Amino acid sequence: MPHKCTKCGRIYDEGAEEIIKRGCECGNRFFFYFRKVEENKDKDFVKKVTSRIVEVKKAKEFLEKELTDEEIEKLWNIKVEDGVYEIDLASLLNKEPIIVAGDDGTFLLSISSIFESKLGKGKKYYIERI
Amino acid sequence: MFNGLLKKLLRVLKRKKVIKLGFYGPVNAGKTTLANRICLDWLGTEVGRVSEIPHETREVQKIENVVVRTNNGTLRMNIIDMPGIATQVDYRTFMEYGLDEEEAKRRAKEATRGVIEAIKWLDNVDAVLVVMDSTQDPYTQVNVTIIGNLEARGIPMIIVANKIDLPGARPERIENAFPQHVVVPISAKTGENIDKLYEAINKYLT
Repeated sequence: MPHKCTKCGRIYDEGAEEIIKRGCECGNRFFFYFRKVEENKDKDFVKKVTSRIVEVKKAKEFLEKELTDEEIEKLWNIKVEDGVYEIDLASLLNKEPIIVAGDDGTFLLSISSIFESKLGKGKKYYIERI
Repeated sequence: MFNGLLKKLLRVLKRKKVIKLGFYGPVNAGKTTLANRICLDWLGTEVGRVSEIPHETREVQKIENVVVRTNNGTLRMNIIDMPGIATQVDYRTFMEYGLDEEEAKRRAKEATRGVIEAIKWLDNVDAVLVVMDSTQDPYTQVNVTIIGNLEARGIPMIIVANKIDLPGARPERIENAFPQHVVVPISAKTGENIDKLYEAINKYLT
């Protein structure tokens, strides 16, 4: 996974020699790991999806109508596979909506987290129940 | 009677604000042991269950109005003991401790929910103790992510280098890893250096 400077946000490739030798250009020596898809996550795209869903249990079909598999893969910050939970701490700490990807292709969205998130704060959404 | 009321009012005004102190850190760093130590010292009772099985604390635990007396004055705090933070929760880990599969999977789910709860609570704490295990390498994604986020939010913190009673403890590694923060080496289990932690909380977090 690539590294992101905790201070200036500069991004370095996985195992970049320069950060091992001298740290970041800004002088900082601490980095986050982060999923590459994270940097490309299109806020409008997430907004489009989260604004339309209030309760999603078997949402894959709905999502697939508009999104590719690759796009769906970008959504989660908690992934469950056979009782093993992968947690993307950085995105949760950054108050992104909680989206749980199940191993059977389902997605669960925490609605309260959407409204508490940076994305939802102070905004009204049209909510569609599916 | 009026004088009495005035005195009472002055006492209330002089009283230090109660700080909401969150205990954060990776799993099995000794957060609940520390909460128990503080409560045993000042309330005379333990509050949380401790075990060697990871994710023993899976719900946020609040202990209100703990009054600690230090050389530099009185410290009033609400302690919020958080579930351990992790980037992966694997039910098979619990099975190694003798839990059956169903129980282990339930625990994994609760532990994941605990991580989310702990993160949500960051909006409601005034200051944080980041508890780390001195016998472990401090350069972990969990430690760096928590500290980076606390810095970004401007939440004051002290790093507690716990478990200094254990033979492999090297609290200096934690000090070297996070030189920009106050690090207090302690043993929550034996109580070693706990007074220094109280002094540090009084000095840096109130």
